[in-house]
Amino acid sequence: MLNFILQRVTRIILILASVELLVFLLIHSVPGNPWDAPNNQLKAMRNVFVDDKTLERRFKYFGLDLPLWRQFTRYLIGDVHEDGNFVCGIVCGNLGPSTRVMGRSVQDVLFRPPKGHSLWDSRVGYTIRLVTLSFAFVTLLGIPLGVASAFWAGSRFDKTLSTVLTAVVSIPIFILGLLGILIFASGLKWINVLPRWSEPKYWILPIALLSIIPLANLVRIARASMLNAMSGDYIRTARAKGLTRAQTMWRHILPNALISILTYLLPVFMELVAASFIIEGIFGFPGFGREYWDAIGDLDYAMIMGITFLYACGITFANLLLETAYRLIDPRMRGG
Amino acid sequence: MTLLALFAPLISPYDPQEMRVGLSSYPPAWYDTNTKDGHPDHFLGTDLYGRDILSRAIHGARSAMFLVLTAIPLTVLIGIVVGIAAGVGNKTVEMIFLRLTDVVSAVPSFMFAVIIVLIVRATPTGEVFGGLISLTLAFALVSWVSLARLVYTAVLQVRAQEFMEASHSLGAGMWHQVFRHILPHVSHLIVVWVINNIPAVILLEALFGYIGIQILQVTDGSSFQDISWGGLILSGRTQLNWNPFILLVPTVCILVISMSFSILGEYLNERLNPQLESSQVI
Repeated sequence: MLNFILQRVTRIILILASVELLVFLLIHSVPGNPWDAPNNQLKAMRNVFVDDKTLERRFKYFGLDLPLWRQFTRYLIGDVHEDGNFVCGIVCGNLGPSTRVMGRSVQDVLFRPPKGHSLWDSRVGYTIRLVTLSFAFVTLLGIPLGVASAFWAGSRFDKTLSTVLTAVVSIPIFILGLLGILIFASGLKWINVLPRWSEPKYWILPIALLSIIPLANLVRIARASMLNAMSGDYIRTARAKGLTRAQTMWRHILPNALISILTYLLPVFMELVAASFIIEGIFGFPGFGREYWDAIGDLDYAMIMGITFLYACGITFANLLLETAYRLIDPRMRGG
Repeated sequence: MTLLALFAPLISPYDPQEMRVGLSSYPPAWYDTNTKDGHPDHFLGTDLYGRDILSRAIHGARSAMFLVLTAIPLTVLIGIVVGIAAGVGNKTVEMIFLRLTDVVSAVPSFMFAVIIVLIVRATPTGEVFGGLISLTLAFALVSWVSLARLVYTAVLQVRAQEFMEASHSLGAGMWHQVFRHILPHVSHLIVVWVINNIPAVILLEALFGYIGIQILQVTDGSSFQDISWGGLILSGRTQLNWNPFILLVPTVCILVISMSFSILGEYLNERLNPQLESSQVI
């Protein structure tokens, strides 16, 4: 087991390093630099009073005058900075200085809450809250719905549910988001287009939208694994020995189906994480994804790489957790 | 939709680019507000610059059509070639492929797509077809991975079957096997993938429009030149509160298309996949 985990962790580290390299190369092929881009008038206006000397000092400070490979190693491992001190890179958890929010490092922007607030009010806190709340919503609603529709398979309830889910899945989330904003903000005036995130009612729309597609998937998965568990021979035996349908359901089918449902929960979670990125962009939600959109516009190299890194961390470690869980739950997997 | 795209110039009542002073921000013809009544000549109203929204929506279908016709074939080509190469190739090819898919799938694919658009739009190629080419490339470079992985697993399954061994022992070469046995077996997967991903291409464009990343590098007023649903969404979003119809029109267009394709996809999946049992939904 330990051997397995060690092996996977090495692989994850390799994957993370490659992700960083890929993003690094991609983002440095975008023409321009954090303070200037061809044809970007907005950026040019903001930096119109920055003279060449300051620009040169900035370049030196952020290490942008170094050759590309040095910049990458500087980001990854660390380098001796201009003042002669060695500053450690991402291997020590230092995500580098942000060029957009000058004077603050990336981890500072992402993890430090505003003064007088708890960690939940930082960028990370917002994203974690959004994703966990949606995840709870999806799990608590999705599994019962799936189980119910399998129990009454073929009934009107089952058919209606599956039709509604098919329809909902085919509508993209951001269109739903637009419609939601149109109806609730423009039409009914319940919320503002510019929400105040400290009030819970503004969270309803993003969470509902983020949950919809994973919810539909989970209901389908739950239904399918219930039906699968029902078709086992031992169920027929249980029924033959005189248990009622409901009794077999609780005693035999549900525990078996739950195991296979549980293994699907992590993919659902990862789906949520990936979708949260788009949802945050749509709603201007003050989390990770929003910071990414801002950073893209300003070519904030360290910020873009830092956020990509954190997303990749989340997804790969969730994967590792999933594989480990598989092995713990299913004895057949342990040998191989 | 195809018809709309082909005959866009004939159908649309007005030139989509023509701006008319004094006709700006009209609601649809059948809709009266307390400030402005609908203009009888413009069925779906006009935008801030007095351009007819119906015409713009119809012309937008052309952009969507162009994207589908370029991005999907490109992606399918890359996906099939790489997937089959990884499936029938030697260990090294397979290893490289698997690690590459690991890396790409570790990040939300949209993150890559954005950066690719930023790169391509700055090069001279980026200006081809009004900037749509950058979206084509972004889509192809990001989503070939999912298709390639699909093809790869299917190829492995096919290769494990006995008839492959039989054909090999009969002296069939690798190319013969690929074209006669493997391709027919994965074709239904590819068809379903294509159907399911056509809406994704259109959505990508709309999403870019929505988030406001312009696919063309222009910052003066003429940047409103590209006529696409994404562009319509962008202009609709900024005027959401006083003329929501600009937003609603492209939204409904996309909605209809993506829903019809997803129903078609489900139907094809049932028809083309002989192994699929009716009880198992996934």
